[in-house]
Amino acid sequence: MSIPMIRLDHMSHIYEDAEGQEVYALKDISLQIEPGEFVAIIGTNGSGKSTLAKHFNVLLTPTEGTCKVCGMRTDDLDNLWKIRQQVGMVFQNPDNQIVAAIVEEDVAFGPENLGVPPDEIKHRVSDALKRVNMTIYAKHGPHLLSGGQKQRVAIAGILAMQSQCIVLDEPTAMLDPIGRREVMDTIRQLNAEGITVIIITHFMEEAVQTGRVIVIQNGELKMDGTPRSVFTKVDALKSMGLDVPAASELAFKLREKGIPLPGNIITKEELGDALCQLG
Amino acid sequence: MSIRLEQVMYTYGMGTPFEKTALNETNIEIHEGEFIGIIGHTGSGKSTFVQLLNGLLHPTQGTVTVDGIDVGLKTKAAMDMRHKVGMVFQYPEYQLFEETIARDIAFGPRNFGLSEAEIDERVREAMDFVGLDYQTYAERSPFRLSGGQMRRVAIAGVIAIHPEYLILDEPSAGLDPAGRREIFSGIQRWHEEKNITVILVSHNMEDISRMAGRLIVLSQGDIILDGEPLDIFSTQQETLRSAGVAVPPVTEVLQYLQARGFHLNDRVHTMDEAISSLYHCLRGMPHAH
Repeated sequence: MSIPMIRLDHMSHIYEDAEGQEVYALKDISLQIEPGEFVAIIGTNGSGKSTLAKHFNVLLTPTEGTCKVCGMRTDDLDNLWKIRQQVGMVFQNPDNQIVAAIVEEDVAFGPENLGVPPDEIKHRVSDALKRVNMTIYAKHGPHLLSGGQKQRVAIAGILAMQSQCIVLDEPTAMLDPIGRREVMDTIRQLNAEGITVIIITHFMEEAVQTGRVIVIQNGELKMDGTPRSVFTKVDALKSMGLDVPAASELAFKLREKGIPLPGNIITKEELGDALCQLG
Repeated sequence: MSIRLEQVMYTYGMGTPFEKTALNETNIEIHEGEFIGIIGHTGSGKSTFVQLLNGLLHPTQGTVTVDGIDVGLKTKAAMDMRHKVGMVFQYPEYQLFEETIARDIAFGPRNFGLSEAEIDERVREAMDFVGLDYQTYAERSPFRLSGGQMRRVAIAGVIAIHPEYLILDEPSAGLDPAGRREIFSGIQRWHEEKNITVILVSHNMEDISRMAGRLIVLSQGDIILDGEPLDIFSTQQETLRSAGVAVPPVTEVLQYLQARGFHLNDRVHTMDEAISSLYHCLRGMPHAH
Protein backbone atom coordinates (compact mmCIF):
# COMPACT_ATOMS: atom_id res chain seq x y z
CA MET A 1 0.00 0.00 0.00
CA SER A 2 1.22 3.45 -0.87
CA ILE A 3 1.14 6.23 1.68
CA PRO A 4 -2.02 8.33 1.39
CA MET A 5 -1.52 11.82 -0.06
CA ILE A 6 -3.74 13.22 2.67
CA ARG A 7 -5.20 11.53 5.69
CA LEU A 8 -7.44 13.15 8.28
CA ASP A 9 -8.31 11.34 11.49
CA HIS A 10 -11.16 12.80 13.54
CA MET A 11 -9.90 16.24 12.66
CA SER A 12 -11.62 19.34 14.03
CA HIS A 13 -10.78 22.99 13.72
CA ILE A 14 -12.10 25.24 16.44
CA TYR A 15 -11.88 29.01 16.61
CA GLU A 16 -13.16 31.58 19.05
CA ASP A 17 -15.80 33.94 17.76
CA ALA A 18 -16.14 37.62 18.74
CA GLU A 19 -17.92 36.70 21.99
CA GLY A 20 -15.25 34.22 22.99
CA GLN A 21 -17.46 31.24 22.16
CA GLU A 22 -15.81 28.16 20.68
CA VAL A 23 -17.05 27.46 17.18
CA TYR A 24 -16.34 24.32 15.18
CA ALA A 25 -15.30 25.39 11.68
CA LEU A 26 -14.65 21.70 11.00
CA LYS A 27 -15.95 18.87 13.12
CA ASP A 28 -14.62 15.35 13.39
CA ILE A 29 -13.58 14.84 9.81
CA SER A 30 -11.94 11.59 8.78
CA LEU A 31 -10.99 10.99 5.19
CA GLN A 32 -8.19 9.78 3.00
CA ILE A 33 -7.08 11.01 -0.41
CA GLU A 34 -4.80 8.71 -2.38
CA PRO A 35 -1.99 9.84 -4.71
CA GLY A 36 -3.33 10.55 -8.20
CA GLU A 37 -6.93 11.24 -7.16
CA PHE A 38 -8.98 14.09 -8.64
CA VAL A 39 -11.28 15.39 -5.91
CA ALA A 40 -13.85 18.18 -5.81
CA ILE A 41 -14.91 19.74 -2.51
CA ILE A 42 -18.26 21.47 -2.59
CA GLY A 43 -20.30 23.26 0.07
CA THR A 44 -22.00 26.59 0.70
CA ASN A 45 -20.12 29.76 1.69
CA GLY A 46 -19.04 29.38 5.28
CA SER A 47 -19.42 25.58 5.21
CA GLY A 48 -15.76 25.09 6.08
CA LYS A 49 -14.48 23.88 2.71
CA SER A 50 -11.73 26.52 2.43
CA THR A 51 -10.78 25.90 6.05
CA LEU A 52 -10.45 22.22 5.19
CA ALA A 53 -8.25 22.93 2.18
CA LYS A 54 -6.00 25.21 4.22
CA HIS A 55 -5.09 22.23 6.41
CA PHE A 56 -3.66 20.42 3.40
CA ASN A 57 -0.65 22.70 3.13
CA VAL A 58 -0.45 23.78 6.75
CA LEU A 59 -1.94 27.24 6.44
CA LEU A 60 -3.99 25.91 9.36
CA THR A 61 -3.38 23.05 11.77
CA PRO A 62 -6.00 20.87 13.48
CA THR A 63 -7.32 21.81 16.92
CA GLU A 64 -8.31 18.18 17.50
CA GLY A 65 -7.37 15.01 15.66
CA THR A 66 -4.64 14.81 13.04
CA CYS A 67 -3.92 15.78 9.48
CA LYS A 68 -1.15 13.93 7.68
CA VAL A 69 0.27 14.80 4.28
CA CYS A 70 2.36 12.05 2.65
CA GLY A 71 2.44 10.45 6.10
CA MET A 72 3.80 13.60 7.78
CA ARG A 73 1.81 15.19 10.59
CA THR A 74 1.01 18.83 9.82
CA ASP A 75 1.24 19.86 13.48
CA ASP A 76 4.92 18.93 13.61
CA LEU A 77 6.80 22.10 12.71
CA ASP A 78 9.75 20.09 11.36
CA ASN A 79 7.52 18.88 8.53
CA LEU A 80 6.26 22.32 7.51
CA TRP A 81 8.48 22.98 4.50
CA LYS A 82 8.51 19.38 3.34
CA ILE A 83 4.71 19.43 3.25
CA ARG A 84 4.47 22.82 1.58
CA GLN A 85 6.80 21.54 -1.11
CA GLN A 86 4.50 18.58 -1.72
CA VAL A 87 1.22 20.50 -1.71
CA GLY A 88 0.80 23.77 -3.61
CA MET A 89 -2.21 26.06 -3.44
CA VAL A 90 -3.93 28.18 -6.08
CA PHE A 91 -6.37 30.80 -4.83
CA GLN A 92 -9.45 32.45 -6.27
CA ASN A 93 -8.08 35.83 -7.23
CA PRO A 94 -5.54 35.51 -10.05
CA ASP A 95 -4.07 38.93 -9.29
CA ASN A 96 -3.11 38.11 -5.72
CA GLN A 97 -0.61 35.34 -6.29
CA ILE A 98 1.82 36.58 -8.88
CA VAL A 99 4.99 38.09 -7.42
CA ALA A 100 7.40 38.71 -10.29
CA ALA A 101 7.38 41.10 -13.26
CA ILE A 102 8.00 38.38 -15.86
CA VAL A 103 6.13 35.10 -16.15
CA GLU A 104 9.17 32.82 -16.10
CA GLU A 105 10.60 34.60 -13.06
CA ASP A 106 7.33 34.10 -11.26
CA VAL A 107 7.40 30.39 -11.99
CA ALA A 108 11.06 30.26 -10.83
CA PHE A 109 10.25 31.90 -7.48
CA GLY A 110 9.51 28.64 -5.67
CA PRO A 111 12.51 26.59 -6.76
CA GLU A 112 14.82 29.59 -6.22
CA ASN A 113 13.73 29.68 -2.60
CA LEU A 114 14.41 25.98 -2.29
CA GLY A 115 18.01 26.62 -3.40
CA VAL A 116 17.70 24.63 -6.60
CA PRO A 117 20.75 25.19 -8.90
CA PRO A 118 20.14 27.71 -11.74
CA ASP A 119 20.41 25.20 -14.59
CA GLU A 120 17.91 22.93 -12.91
CA ILE A 121 15.57 25.91 -12.32
CA LYS A 122 15.67 26.78 -16.01
CA HIS A 123 14.80 23.25 -16.90
CA ARG A 124 11.96 23.07 -14.39
CA VAL A 125 10.48 26.43 -15.43
CA SER A 126 10.40 25.60 -19.11
CA ASP A 127 8.93 22.18 -18.36
CA ALA A 128 6.27 23.69 -16.06
CA LEU A 129 5.26 26.36 -18.57
CA LYS A 130 5.00 23.73 -21.27
CA ARG A 131 2.73 21.56 -19.16
CA VAL A 132 0.26 24.43 -18.60
CA ASN A 133 0.57 25.47 -22.26
CA MET A 134 2.05 28.89 -21.46
CA THR A 135 5.49 28.55 -23.05
CA ILE A 136 4.96 31.40 -25.51
CA TYR A 137 4.22 33.76 -22.61
CA ALA A 138 7.45 33.01 -20.73
CA LYS A 139 8.87 36.51 -21.25
CA HIS A 140 5.57 38.38 -20.85
CA GLY A 141 4.55 40.67 -18.03
CA PRO A 142 1.87 38.89 -15.97
CA HIS A 143 -0.37 41.99 -15.95
CA LEU A 144 -0.98 41.53 -19.66
CA LEU A 145 -2.35 38.03 -19.21
CA SER A 146 -6.01 37.02 -18.93
CA GLY A 147 -7.33 35.56 -15.67
CA GLY A 148 -7.16 32.01 -17.00
CA GLN A 149 -3.58 32.52 -18.11
CA LYS A 150 -2.61 33.95 -14.71
CA GLN A 151 -4.10 30.94 -12.97
CA ARG A 152 -2.10 28.65 -15.25
CA VAL A 153 1.06 30.58 -14.35
CA ALA A 154 0.22 30.01 -10.68
CA ILE A 155 -0.17 26.29 -11.41
CA ALA A 156 3.17 26.27 -13.26
CA GLY A 157 4.79 27.75 -10.15
CA ILE A 158 3.60 24.72 -8.20
CA LEU A 159 4.81 22.30 -10.87
CA ALA A 160 8.24 23.94 -10.75
CA MET A 161 8.36 23.01 -7.06
CA GLN A 162 7.78 19.41 -8.17
CA SER A 163 4.79 19.22 -5.84
CA GLN A 164 2.77 16.04 -5.97
CA CYS A 165 -0.53 17.67 -5.07
CA ILE A 166 -2.31 20.85 -6.18
CA VAL A 167 -5.12 22.32 -4.10
CA LEU A 168 -7.20 24.93 -5.93
CA ASP A 169 -9.61 27.11 -3.93
CA GLU A 170 -12.26 28.27 -6.40
CA PRO A 171 -9.67 28.89 -9.12
CA THR A 172 -12.29 29.73 -11.77
CA ALA A 173 -14.69 31.91 -9.77
CA MET A 174 -13.35 35.11 -11.29
CA LEU A 175 -12.83 33.78 -14.81
CA ASP A 176 -14.85 33.99 -18.02
CA PRO A 177 -15.99 30.77 -19.75
CA ILE A 178 -12.81 30.54 -21.84
CA GLY A 179 -10.56 30.98 -18.81
CA ARG A 180 -12.59 28.43 -16.89
CA ARG A 181 -12.18 25.86 -19.63
CA GLU A 182 -8.43 26.57 -19.90
CA VAL A 183 -7.94 25.96 -16.18
CA MET A 184 -10.09 22.83 -16.10
CA ASP A 185 -8.37 21.38 -19.19
CA THR A 186 -4.99 22.07 -17.60
CA ILE A 187 -5.73 20.44 -14.27
CA ARG A 188 -7.42 17.45 -15.92
CA GLN A 189 -4.29 16.97 -17.98
CA LEU A 190 -2.02 17.26 -14.93
CA ASN A 191 -4.15 14.74 -13.07
CA ALA A 192 -3.80 12.37 -16.02
CA GLU A 193 -0.02 12.79 -15.60
CA GLY A 194 -0.34 11.61 -12.00
CA ILE A 195 -0.66 14.82 -9.98
CA THR A 196 -3.19 14.70 -7.15
CA VAL A 197 -5.73 17.48 -7.73
CA ILE A 198 -8.16 18.84 -5.13
CA ILE A 199 -10.49 21.56 -6.35
CA ILE A 200 -12.96 23.61 -4.34
CA THR A 201 -15.68 24.88 -6.62
CA HIS A 202 -19.20 26.26 -6.83
CA PHE A 203 -19.53 25.12 -10.42
CA MET A 204 -21.14 21.72 -10.48
CA GLU A 205 -20.24 21.35 -14.17
CA GLU A 206 -16.61 21.33 -12.96
CA ALA A 207 -17.19 18.95 -10.05
CA VAL A 208 -18.74 16.45 -12.48
CA GLN A 209 -15.40 16.20 -14.28
CA THR A 210 -13.59 14.87 -11.21
CA GLY A 211 -13.36 11.35 -9.85
CA ARG A 212 -14.69 12.04 -6.36
CA VAL A 213 -16.91 14.66 -4.78
CA ILE A 214 -16.78 15.60 -1.10
CA VAL A 215 -19.65 17.64 0.34
CA ILE A 216 -19.03 19.76 3.43
CA GLN A 217 -21.88 21.37 5.34
CA ASN A 218 -21.64 23.24 8.66
CA GLY A 219 -18.11 21.95 9.10
CA GLU A 220 -19.12 18.32 8.75
CA LEU A 221 -18.48 15.82 5.99
CA LYS A 222 -21.93 15.05 4.54
CA MET A 223 -21.22 13.08 1.37
CA ASP A 224 -18.17 11.48 -0.20
CA GLY A 225 -18.40 9.51 -3.41
CA THR A 226 -18.25 9.49 -7.18
CA PRO A 227 -19.85 12.44 -8.99
CA ARG A 228 -22.60 10.07 -10.06
CA SER A 229 -23.42 8.91 -6.54
CA VAL A 230 -23.40 12.47 -5.21
CA PHE A 231 -25.13 14.39 -7.99
CA THR A 232 -28.03 11.98 -8.31
CA LYS A 233 -29.02 12.93 -4.74
CA VAL A 234 -30.67 16.06 -6.09
CA ASP A 235 -33.03 16.65 -3.16
CA ALA A 236 -30.35 16.26 -0.51
CA LEU A 237 -27.99 18.68 -2.27
CA LYS A 238 -30.75 21.22 -2.89
CA SER A 239 -31.77 21.11 0.75
CA MET A 240 -28.17 21.95 1.69
CA GLY A 241 -28.42 25.01 -0.56
CA LEU A 242 -26.25 23.54 -3.31
CA ASP A 243 -26.81 23.26 -7.04
CA VAL A 244 -26.56 20.14 -9.16
CA PRO A 245 -25.52 19.94 -12.83
CA ALA A 246 -28.32 21.05 -15.16
CA ALA A 247 -28.67 17.58 -16.74
CA SER A 248 -29.00 15.90 -13.30
CA GLU A 249 -31.71 18.29 -12.26
CA LEU A 250 -33.64 17.98 -15.52
CA ALA A 251 -33.57 14.18 -15.30
CA PHE A 252 -34.57 14.21 -11.64
CA LYS A 253 -37.53 16.56 -12.19
CA LEU A 254 -38.73 14.63 -15.24
CA ARG A 255 -38.69 11.44 -13.20
CA GLU A 256 -40.78 13.19 -10.56
CA LYS A 257 -43.25 14.01 -13.31
CA GLY A 258 -43.48 10.37 -14.26
CA ILE A 259 -41.09 10.17 -17.22
CA PRO A 260 -39.34 6.78 -16.81
CA LEU A 261 -35.69 7.85 -16.86
CA PRO A 262 -32.86 6.03 -15.09
CA GLY A 263 -31.79 7.58 -11.79
CA ASN A 264 -28.10 7.87 -12.59
CA ILE A 265 -28.00 10.68 -15.20
CA ILE A 266 -25.49 13.49 -14.61
CA THR A 267 -24.45 14.68 -18.09
CA LYS A 268 -26.31 16.03 -21.12
CA GLU A 269 -25.05 13.13 -23.21
CA GLU A 270 -26.51 10.60 -20.78
CA LEU A 271 -29.78 12.53 -20.71
CA GLY A 272 -29.89 12.54 -24.51
CA ASP A 273 -29.20 8.79 -24.66
CA ALA A 274 -31.86 8.02 -22.08
CA LEU A 275 -34.47 10.19 -23.78
CA CYS A 276 -33.77 8.51 -27.11
CA GLN A 277 -34.50 5.13 -25.55
CA LEU A 278 -37.92 6.18 -24.28
CA GLY A 279 -41.13 4.99 -25.90
CA MET B 1 -34.31 59.62 -17.57
CA SER B 2 -31.48 57.56 -19.00
CA ILE B 3 -27.77 57.07 -19.38
CA ARG B 4 -26.63 57.96 -22.90
CA LEU B 5 -23.33 57.30 -24.55
CA GLU B 6 -22.80 59.38 -27.68
CA GLN B 7 -19.88 58.56 -29.94
CA VAL B 8 -17.98 57.41 -26.89
CA MET B 9 -14.56 55.91 -27.32
CA TYR B 10 -11.96 55.04 -24.70
CA THR B 11 -8.25 54.53 -25.19
CA TYR B 12 -5.86 53.60 -22.40
CA GLY B 13 -2.35 55.08 -22.34
CA MET B 14 -2.99 57.65 -25.09
CA GLY B 15 0.29 58.72 -26.65
CA THR B 16 2.36 56.00 -24.98
CA PRO B 17 3.73 52.77 -26.48
CA PHE B 18 1.02 50.94 -24.50
CA GLU B 19 -1.84 52.79 -26.20
CA LYS B 20 -4.82 50.48 -26.45
CA THR B 21 -8.39 51.24 -27.42
CA ALA B 22 -10.63 49.36 -24.99
CA LEU B 23 -13.93 50.66 -26.32
CA ASN B 24 -14.51 51.59 -29.95
CA GLU B 25 -16.97 54.31 -30.90
CA THR B 26 -20.18 53.43 -29.11
CA ASN B 27 -23.68 54.90 -29.12
CA ILE B 28 -26.15 53.46 -26.68
CA GLU B 29 -28.94 54.48 -24.38
CA ILE B 30 -29.80 52.78 -21.10
CA HIS B 31 -33.34 53.61 -20.05
CA GLU B 32 -34.62 54.17 -16.57
CA GLY B 33 -35.97 50.98 -15.04
CA GLU B 34 -34.15 48.56 -17.33
CA PHE B 35 -32.38 45.45 -16.04
CA ILE B 36 -29.42 44.98 -18.33
CA GLY B 37 -26.98 42.12 -18.48
CA ILE B 38 -23.52 42.76 -19.90
CA ILE B 39 -21.35 39.86 -20.99
CA GLY B 40 -18.07 39.45 -22.80
CA HIS B 41 -14.80 37.65 -22.21
CA THR B 42 -11.87 39.14 -20.31
CA GLY B 43 -10.55 42.13 -22.24
CA SER B 44 -13.76 42.64 -24.23
CA GLY B 45 -14.16 46.16 -22.83
CA LYS B 46 -17.01 45.53 -20.42
CA SER B 47 -15.26 46.89 -17.32
CA THR B 48 -14.24 49.99 -19.28
CA PHE B 49 -17.83 50.36 -20.45
CA VAL B 50 -19.34 50.31 -16.96
CA GLN B 51 -16.68 52.62 -15.52
CA LEU B 52 -17.60 55.19 -18.18
CA LEU B 53 -21.22 55.08 -17.02
CA ASN B 54 -20.53 56.69 -13.67
CA GLY B 55 -17.66 58.98 -14.55
CA LEU B 56 -14.86 56.86 -13.11
CA LEU B 57 -13.34 56.99 -16.56
CA HIS B 58 -13.78 59.96 -18.87
CA PRO B 59 -14.22 59.14 -22.54
CA THR B 60 -11.30 59.85 -24.87
CA GLN B 61 -13.95 60.97 -27.31
CA GLY B 62 -17.71 61.61 -27.05
CA THR B 63 -19.97 62.26 -24.07
CA VAL B 64 -21.70 60.28 -21.35
CA THR B 65 -24.84 61.87 -19.95
CA VAL B 66 -26.85 60.70 -16.95
CA ASP B 67 -30.36 62.14 -16.88
CA GLY B 68 -29.19 64.75 -19.35
CA ILE B 69 -26.14 65.90 -17.42
CA ASP B 70 -22.64 65.36 -18.77
CA VAL B 71 -20.87 63.34 -16.05
CA GLY B 72 -17.50 64.48 -17.36
CA LEU B 73 -18.04 68.05 -16.18
CA LYS B 74 -16.72 69.31 -12.87
CA THR B 75 -19.95 71.13 -11.98
CA LYS B 76 -21.90 70.41 -8.80
CA ALA B 77 -24.75 68.96 -10.83
CA ALA B 78 -22.35 66.47 -12.42
CA MET B 79 -20.86 65.51 -9.05
CA ASP B 80 -24.35 65.00 -7.58
CA MET B 81 -25.27 62.91 -10.56
CA ARG B 82 -22.41 60.54 -9.89
CA HIS B 83 -23.93 59.82 -6.50
CA LYS B 84 -26.99 58.49 -8.27
CA VAL B 85 -24.93 55.82 -9.99
CA GLY B 86 -23.82 53.24 -7.46
CA MET B 87 -21.14 50.79 -8.43
CA VAL B 88 -20.24 47.47 -6.86
CA PHE B 89 -16.81 46.54 -8.12
CA GLN B 90 -15.29 43.16 -8.66
CA TYR B 91 -13.86 41.84 -5.39
CA PRO B 92 -15.83 44.42 -3.37
CA GLU B 93 -14.77 42.70 -0.16
CA TYR B 94 -11.34 44.31 -0.57
CA GLN B 95 -12.95 47.71 -0.11
CA LEU B 96 -14.08 47.03 3.45
CA PHE B 97 -12.13 49.03 5.99
CA GLU B 98 -14.13 49.84 9.11
CA GLU B 99 -14.00 48.16 12.51
CA THR B 100 -17.61 47.06 12.51
CA ILE B 101 -19.97 45.99 9.78
CA ALA B 102 -22.50 48.69 10.68
CA ARG B 103 -19.87 51.43 10.47
CA ASP B 104 -18.60 50.18 7.15
CA ILE B 105 -22.08 50.29 5.64
CA ALA B 106 -22.69 53.71 7.24
CA PHE B 107 -19.69 55.28 5.50
CA GLY B 108 -21.55 56.37 2.35
CA PRO B 109 -24.67 57.79 4.02
CA ARG B 110 -22.51 59.57 6.61
CA ASN B 111 -20.56 61.29 3.84
CA PHE B 112 -23.83 62.55 2.45
CA GLY B 113 -24.48 64.33 5.73
CA LEU B 114 -27.48 62.31 6.89
CA SER B 115 -28.52 62.38 10.55
CA GLU B 116 -27.49 59.50 12.84
CA ALA B 117 -31.09 58.25 12.92
CA GLU B 118 -31.28 58.25 9.12
CA ILE B 119 -27.90 56.56 8.88
CA ASP B 120 -28.99 53.84 11.29
CA GLU B 121 -32.14 53.29 9.27
CA ARG B 122 -30.13 53.01 6.04
CA VAL B 123 -27.74 50.51 7.64
CA ARG B 124 -30.57 48.30 8.88
CA GLU B 125 -32.32 48.46 5.54
CA ALA B 126 -29.13 47.62 3.63
CA MET B 127 -28.29 44.69 5.93
CA ASP B 128 -31.79 43.35 5.53
CA PHE B 129 -31.38 43.77 1.77
CA VAL B 130 -28.39 41.45 1.63
CA GLY B 131 -29.72 39.03 4.22
CA LEU B 132 -27.40 39.85 7.13
CA ASP B 133 -29.15 39.86 10.48
CA TYR B 134 -28.61 43.23 12.19
CA GLN B 135 -28.59 41.88 15.75
CA THR B 136 -26.03 39.23 14.93
CA TYR B 137 -23.70 41.13 12.64
CA ALA B 138 -23.88 44.90 13.14
CA GLU B 139 -21.10 45.11 15.72
CA ARG B 140 -18.88 42.37 14.32
CA SER B 141 -15.69 43.00 12.43
CA PRO B 142 -16.19 42.66 8.67
CA PHE B 143 -12.80 40.97 8.46
CA ARG B 144 -13.88 37.88 10.37
CA LEU B 145 -16.54 36.93 7.86
CA SER B 146 -16.38 34.38 5.08
CA GLY B 147 -15.75 35.67 1.56
CA GLY B 148 -19.41 35.48 0.61
CA GLN B 149 -20.52 37.35 3.70
CA MET B 150 -17.90 40.06 3.14
CA ARG B 151 -19.29 40.45 -0.36
CA ARG B 152 -22.72 41.08 1.11
CA VAL B 153 -21.41 43.76 3.46
CA ALA B 154 -19.74 45.51 0.52
CA ILE B 155 -22.94 45.42 -1.53
CA ALA B 156 -24.90 46.72 1.47
CA GLY B 157 -22.53 49.69 1.60
CA VAL B 158 -23.53 50.69 -1.93
CA ILE B 159 -27.23 49.99 -1.39
CA ALA B 160 -27.15 52.29 1.65
CA ILE B 161 -26.55 55.32 -0.59
CA HIS B 162 -29.80 54.61 -2.44
CA PRO B 163 -28.47 54.70 -6.00
CA GLU B 164 -30.92 55.21 -8.87
CA TYR B 165 -28.65 53.33 -11.21
CA LEU B 166 -26.94 50.29 -9.77
CA ILE B 167 -23.95 48.82 -11.58
CA LEU B 168 -22.73 45.43 -10.40
CA ASP B 169 -19.49 44.02 -11.77
CA GLU B 170 -19.53 40.25 -11.17
CA PRO B 171 -21.34 40.46 -7.83
CA SER B 172 -21.97 36.73 -7.53
CA ALA B 173 -18.50 35.36 -8.30
CA GLY B 174 -17.55 32.91 -5.58
CA LEU B 175 -20.98 32.83 -3.97
CA ASP B 176 -22.96 29.65 -3.45
CA PRO B 177 -26.43 29.31 -5.02
CA ALA B 178 -28.17 30.38 -1.81
CA GLY B 179 -25.91 33.43 -1.47
CA ARG B 180 -26.52 34.37 -5.08
CA ARG B 181 -30.24 34.08 -4.70
CA GLU B 182 -30.17 36.17 -1.54
CA ILE B 183 -28.24 39.00 -3.15
CA PHE B 184 -30.22 38.96 -6.36
CA SER B 185 -33.63 38.67 -4.76
CA GLY B 186 -32.94 41.95 -2.98
CA ILE B 187 -31.70 43.57 -6.18
CA GLN B 188 -34.70 42.32 -8.15
CA ARG B 189 -37.07 43.59 -5.47
CA TRP B 190 -35.52 47.06 -5.60
CA HIS B 191 -35.57 47.00 -9.35
CA GLU B 192 -39.29 46.21 -9.36
CA GLU B 193 -40.48 48.30 -6.42
CA LYS B 194 -38.34 51.38 -6.85
CA ASN B 195 -37.77 51.20 -10.59
CA ILE B 196 -34.00 51.18 -10.04
CA THR B 197 -32.00 50.65 -13.21
CA VAL B 198 -29.70 47.65 -12.82
CA ILE B 199 -26.65 46.98 -14.95
CA LEU B 200 -25.21 43.57 -14.23
CA VAL B 201 -21.85 42.45 -15.56
CA SER B 202 -21.60 38.70 -15.15
CA HIS B 203 -20.20 35.47 -16.45
CA ASN B 204 -23.15 33.69 -14.91
CA MET B 205 -25.53 33.28 -17.81
CA GLU B 206 -28.12 31.62 -15.62
CA ASP B 207 -28.42 34.80 -13.54
CA ILE B 208 -28.63 36.90 -16.70
CA SER B 209 -31.32 34.82 -18.39
CA ARG B 210 -33.36 34.73 -15.18
CA MET B 211 -33.29 38.45 -14.50
CA ALA B 212 -32.17 40.69 -17.35
CA GLY B 213 -34.65 42.14 -19.83
CA ARG B 214 -31.88 43.26 -22.16
CA LEU B 215 -28.52 41.75 -22.93
CA ILE B 216 -25.48 43.56 -24.28
CA VAL B 217 -22.59 41.45 -25.59
CA LEU B 218 -19.16 43.05 -25.93
CA SER B 219 -16.28 41.69 -27.93
CA GLN B 220 -12.96 43.39 -28.66
CA GLY B 221 -14.28 46.81 -27.69
CA ASP B 222 -17.50 46.66 -29.71
CA ILE B 223 -21.09 46.02 -28.75
CA ILE B 224 -21.75 43.08 -31.05
CA LEU B 225 -25.21 42.12 -29.80
CA ASP B 226 -27.89 44.12 -27.99
CA GLY B 227 -31.31 42.58 -27.49
CA GLU B 228 -33.61 40.31 -25.55
CA PRO B 229 -31.53 37.65 -23.72
CA LEU B 230 -33.59 34.66 -24.80
CA ASP B 231 -33.54 35.82 -28.42
CA ILE B 232 -29.77 36.09 -28.26
CA PHE B 233 -29.24 32.76 -26.47
CA SER B 234 -31.58 31.02 -28.88
CA THR B 235 -30.46 32.46 -32.22
CA GLN B 236 -26.91 33.77 -31.81
CA GLN B 237 -25.05 30.72 -30.54
CA GLU B 238 -22.28 31.02 -33.11
CA THR B 239 -21.69 34.72 -32.46
CA LEU B 240 -21.67 34.06 -28.72
CA ARG B 241 -19.17 31.25 -29.06
CA SER B 242 -16.82 33.31 -31.20
CA ALA B 243 -17.08 36.12 -28.63
CA GLY B 244 -15.93 33.65 -25.99
CA VAL B 245 -19.13 33.55 -23.96
CA ALA B 246 -21.51 30.71 -23.27
CA VAL B 247 -25.25 30.16 -23.07
CA PRO B 248 -26.76 29.24 -19.65
CA PRO B 249 -26.03 25.60 -18.62
CA VAL B 250 -29.68 24.55 -18.88
CA THR B 251 -30.02 26.18 -22.31
CA GLU B 252 -26.90 24.30 -23.37
CA VAL B 253 -28.53 20.99 -22.41
CA LEU B 254 -31.72 21.89 -24.27
CA GLN B 255 -29.80 22.95 -27.37
CA TYR B 256 -27.82 19.72 -27.23
CA LEU B 257 -31.10 17.78 -27.15
CA GLN B 258 -32.41 19.86 -30.07
CA ALA B 259 -29.33 18.88 -32.02
CA ARG B 260 -30.17 15.25 -31.28
CA GLY B 261 -33.56 15.71 -32.89
CA PHE B 262 -35.86 16.69 -30.05
CA HIS B 263 -38.25 19.44 -31.07
CA LEU B 264 -38.32 21.56 -27.97
CA ASN B 265 -38.35 25.20 -27.02
CA ASP B 266 -34.95 26.41 -25.80
CA ARG B 267 -36.22 29.90 -24.89
CA VAL B 268 -36.38 29.37 -21.15
CA HIS B 269 -35.56 31.72 -18.27
CA THR B 270 -35.29 29.13 -15.54
CA MET B 271 -34.87 25.45 -14.74
CA ASP B 272 -38.63 25.15 -14.16
CA GLU B 273 -39.36 26.46 -17.64
CA ALA B 274 -36.78 24.06 -19.06
CA ILE B 275 -38.45 21.13 -17.34
CA SER B 276 -41.87 22.03 -18.68
CA SER B 277 -40.42 22.60 -22.16
CA LEU B 278 -38.83 19.17 -22.13
CA TYR B 279 -41.87 17.56 -20.52
CA HIS B 280 -44.22 18.91 -23.17
CA CYS B 281 -41.85 17.83 -25.91
CA LEU B 282 -41.87 14.26 -24.53
CA ARG B 283 -45.63 14.22 -24.00
CA GLY B 284 -46.15 15.38 -27.54
CA MET B 285 -44.33 12.44 -29.07
CA PRO B 286 -45.23 9.24 -27.20
CA HIS B 287 -43.67 6.91 -29.76
CA ALA B 288 -40.77 9.04 -30.90
CA HIS B 289 -37.19 7.84 -30.66
